[in-house]
Amino acid sequence: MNDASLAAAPAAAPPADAECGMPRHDATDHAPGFLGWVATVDHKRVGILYIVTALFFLVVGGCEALAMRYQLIKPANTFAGPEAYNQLFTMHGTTMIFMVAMPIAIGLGNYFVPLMIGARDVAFPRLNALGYWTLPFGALLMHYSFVTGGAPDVGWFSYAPLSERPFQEVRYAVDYWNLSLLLLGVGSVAAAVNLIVTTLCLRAPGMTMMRLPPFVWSMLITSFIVIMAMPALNAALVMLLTDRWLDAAYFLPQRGGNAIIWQHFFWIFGHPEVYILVLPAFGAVAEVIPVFSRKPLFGYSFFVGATMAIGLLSLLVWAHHMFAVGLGRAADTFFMASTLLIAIPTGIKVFNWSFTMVGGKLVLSTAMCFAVAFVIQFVLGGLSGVTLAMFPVDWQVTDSYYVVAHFHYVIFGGIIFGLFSGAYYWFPKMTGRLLGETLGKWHFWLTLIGFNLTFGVQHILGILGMPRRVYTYPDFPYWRELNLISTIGAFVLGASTLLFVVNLWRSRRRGAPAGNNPWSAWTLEWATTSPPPHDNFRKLPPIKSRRPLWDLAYPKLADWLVAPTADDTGARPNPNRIAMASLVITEATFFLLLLAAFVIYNTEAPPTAARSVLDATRAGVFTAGLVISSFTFMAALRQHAAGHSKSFLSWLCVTLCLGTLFVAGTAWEYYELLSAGFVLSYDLFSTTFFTVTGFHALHVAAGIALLTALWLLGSRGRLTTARHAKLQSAGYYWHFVSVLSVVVYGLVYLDVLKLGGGAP
Amino acid sequence: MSAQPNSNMFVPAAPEARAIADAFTLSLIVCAVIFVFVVGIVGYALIKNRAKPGTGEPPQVYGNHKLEVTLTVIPFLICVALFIVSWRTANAAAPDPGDAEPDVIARGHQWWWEFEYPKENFRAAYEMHLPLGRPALVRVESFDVIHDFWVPALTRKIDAIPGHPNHVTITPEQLGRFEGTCAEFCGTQHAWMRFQVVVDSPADYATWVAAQRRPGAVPTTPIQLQGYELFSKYTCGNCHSIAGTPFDSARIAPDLTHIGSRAALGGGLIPQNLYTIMAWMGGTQAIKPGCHMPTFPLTNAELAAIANYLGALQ
Repeated sequence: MNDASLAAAPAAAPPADAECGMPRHDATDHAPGFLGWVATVDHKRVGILYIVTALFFLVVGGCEALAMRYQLIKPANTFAGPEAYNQLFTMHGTTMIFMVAMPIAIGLGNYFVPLMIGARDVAFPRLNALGYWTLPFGALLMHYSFVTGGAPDVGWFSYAPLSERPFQEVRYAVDYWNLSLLLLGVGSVAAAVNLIVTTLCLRAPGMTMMRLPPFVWSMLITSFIVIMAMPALNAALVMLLTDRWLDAAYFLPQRGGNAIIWQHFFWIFGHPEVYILVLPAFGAVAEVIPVFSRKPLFGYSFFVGATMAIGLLSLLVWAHHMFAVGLGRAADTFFMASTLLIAIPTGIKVFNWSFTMVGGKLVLSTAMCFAVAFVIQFVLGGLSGVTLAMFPVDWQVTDSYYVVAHFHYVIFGGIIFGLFSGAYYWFPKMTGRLLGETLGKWHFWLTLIGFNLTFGVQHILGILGMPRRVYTYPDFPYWRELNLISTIGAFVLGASTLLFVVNLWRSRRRGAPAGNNPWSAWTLEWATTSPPPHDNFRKLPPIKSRRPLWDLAYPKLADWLVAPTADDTGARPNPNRIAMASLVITEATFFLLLLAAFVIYNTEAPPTAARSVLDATRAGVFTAGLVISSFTFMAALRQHAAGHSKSFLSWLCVTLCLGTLFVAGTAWEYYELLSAGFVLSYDLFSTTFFTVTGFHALHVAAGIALLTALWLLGSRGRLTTARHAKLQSAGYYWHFVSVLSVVVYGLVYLDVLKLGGGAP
Repeated sequence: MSAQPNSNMFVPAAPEARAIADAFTLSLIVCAVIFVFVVGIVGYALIKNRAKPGTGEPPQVYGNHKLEVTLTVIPFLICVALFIVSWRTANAAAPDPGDAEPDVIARGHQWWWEFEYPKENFRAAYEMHLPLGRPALVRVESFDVIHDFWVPALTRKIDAIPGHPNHVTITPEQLGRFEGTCAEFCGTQHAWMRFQVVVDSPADYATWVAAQRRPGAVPTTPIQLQGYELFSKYTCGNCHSIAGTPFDSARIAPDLTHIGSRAALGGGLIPQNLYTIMAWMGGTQAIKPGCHMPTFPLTNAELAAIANYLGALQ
């Protein structure tokens, strides 16, 4: 920036009364070298680990894409055969989504959310590190399949029954894929819970929700979508594993199952996933465009509202991926309506960005170039999405190259461009050095040209009738030429990404020194050194608006004077309680889907002999015991709050006993069922029964472990009344499994929905 | 094949596909207008609002509620319009079949299409013939995994799902061949699961149906007879059936009763003639790797004999 008055802004001494609200870390610095990275729990280092890992897989997934495009360079090419090609596109999709786009977004969130809200770290640094380490190990598990006879080759969506044993006789690749995604899912949920708690609970004094930077809002809503959507994938994965290893038939129509349910569950996760990926990019661009237009974000509250609306609607649009399934006119119409609706908040964001630029003073740095290209290309991807939302149009173009073009305009033209923009913007903060602008501009123009060459022509290929996921194609008019153009574009794109990696590598040591605030930006991450110290801030500036550093630079034009926002009441929720509430939300969603599966598979089911073994009265007694244990736990809580540690421990002990009895009751019932020959694969009732009750009993067992730990702490006098919130949060979980037992009892034993399938 | 068969959704040859093409065109026009609008705003800013050194900060504008509400309401109205268009298009493109019996059952197999004509009681593969001008109800089924029936120039795409039969209607308005393909990933050879819809004049169609209903041609020449014996010896009939021979019950692989009349082999991979039949049997796994038919270790003489027999099954 060349404006002297701006450059001076961060240098102004922050007022003395603005200490961070957080206690400082005990540890002063990192262990040196390699150990300092492996053992780190610093959110900034964890963030960098995420990003570097994601960059590595960007190269891996990119090479897979190049191999695919090379195979498609001409009709009937023989570079990669069908087996290799199908593995390539499966791994490309899975890698880019789970090992590139998600980790980069989570990594940026990890690094910048605490900084932008003036916190010293995330709420749970160790959980944060754990969440990261699921990524390399999950990726390792997935790639290990290569040495077991081949990578998964059924697409990143693994449609059943193709992904089932009868069609995958010798290969275990789908199992590695499955377990890897379960592991990565755990990591994502952990990261999301951490970001939710950090944002809600650790905001510095003055940082109200309506003063949060747009990027923080985006990460917050993203995290909520993660905890709501991931369990759907987990439920589907668990059911597929049950089919593959316990001989069940959830998704095998040939044995009474239903292949469409896989698609429903997968897309209940899969579509929100698109927004999980895109919202962080939205957020990054909403930071970059204002700073390089030298104006605040146009319509902040509309931006926030639109983000929330997208979060909610994203959970209601999944079956627009299934218009060709033949779900019927009613379902198609509903999902078209919800999908068209989601275009409206998305459109609002486009106007937020574009009107921020109008009337500003645009500085076309590389970060800004990527942000502008993001807006244009994302609009193209969004508009082709509108055509796809119209289900009759989707009936023609779905599963064609038109869709490939559409979602690459959203994911590459949008998300990746947005993240590149964020990279150029934030790299100086992370390293203390600017990313080279000359190489950056080369990177930008080559990416722009390569991207549009690669994917622009694919719209036409789709319209000309070329289907997706084909390893080769007949020599139809224009198919050869358009595919050639697309492949050339892909290699330009590959070269441009190489430039980016080179730029990162060179600038990390030899880039121009950045100083604290090279862009004269306004949010809190620029109010500290580059890179920030271990505990982030020496002193925080006063936070009285959305742009604390603008207020410092221009006290007379301060936002809190010109456009005041409601003041901070200082209230922050308790981290333990928010964390447990988030966990319960994600678990409840998981069970909601398992219970939905129970209802679906037992509706109009033939009578099952397995029911005759069940003893509803006995199960009722154990369930009642578990419900009572909720009340004994509340009694324990009251005693703890009152400081009566002995009776607290006694009530907790009673709770534990009732919980243990419930698990024992389930074991007893299982013993009888299995002795009578009703194994899980006996029929669909048995499959769903064991899945639902088994997972519930497992959760009760986990609750018992948690309460036992608390009992041990309590008996050693380590649970002082000051730590009451920890106990309360454990209560959330215990009440959850107890309420769940009532639902399970009503649905499974009492058959309150009259599903049929009674005893013969 | 001479003129390339049509696989372009914007060159529709049936009202079902035309309704969709029209709606698609309309939506593309609407999208183009919106796109130009956004590019206009951004382009204006890029040209007019560049920073110049030493000019200080621009006026700080925080938003404009009127503008924001307007830009929320207009997209909403556009969505409502597109919703109505879609609704009407859907009724034209996919009329409710009711309880009507299908004229054709299109059944997806890994990796070929079977076309069963239940009313005339025969089964074809690769080619689905339809008479000009008569609405045909096609039931789409699957033998194994999920496939998708897609003939862009004629009608909507629809999944072939085991345990979940679907229906599409086609009212062909043009004579000729129309390219079709499986559009849902279905395993190794998804790429070569193509087919063609052949629209015949009513007279030609009647001739074709009559021909398809006849049992397989009886081998007459010595080489055809030898081919028939080899067909029997190498257990081809375990998977393929030929009506009028003892091998008329297998349903796993394409029915060969009239293989000599089809344009292509291997799901559209190679044209059909004596030489390609030989090549196919002698190197199935080389030509279509992963397909469910094994490569048979036959001598050239044996291949020629079988090809002569099969090629005569017109």
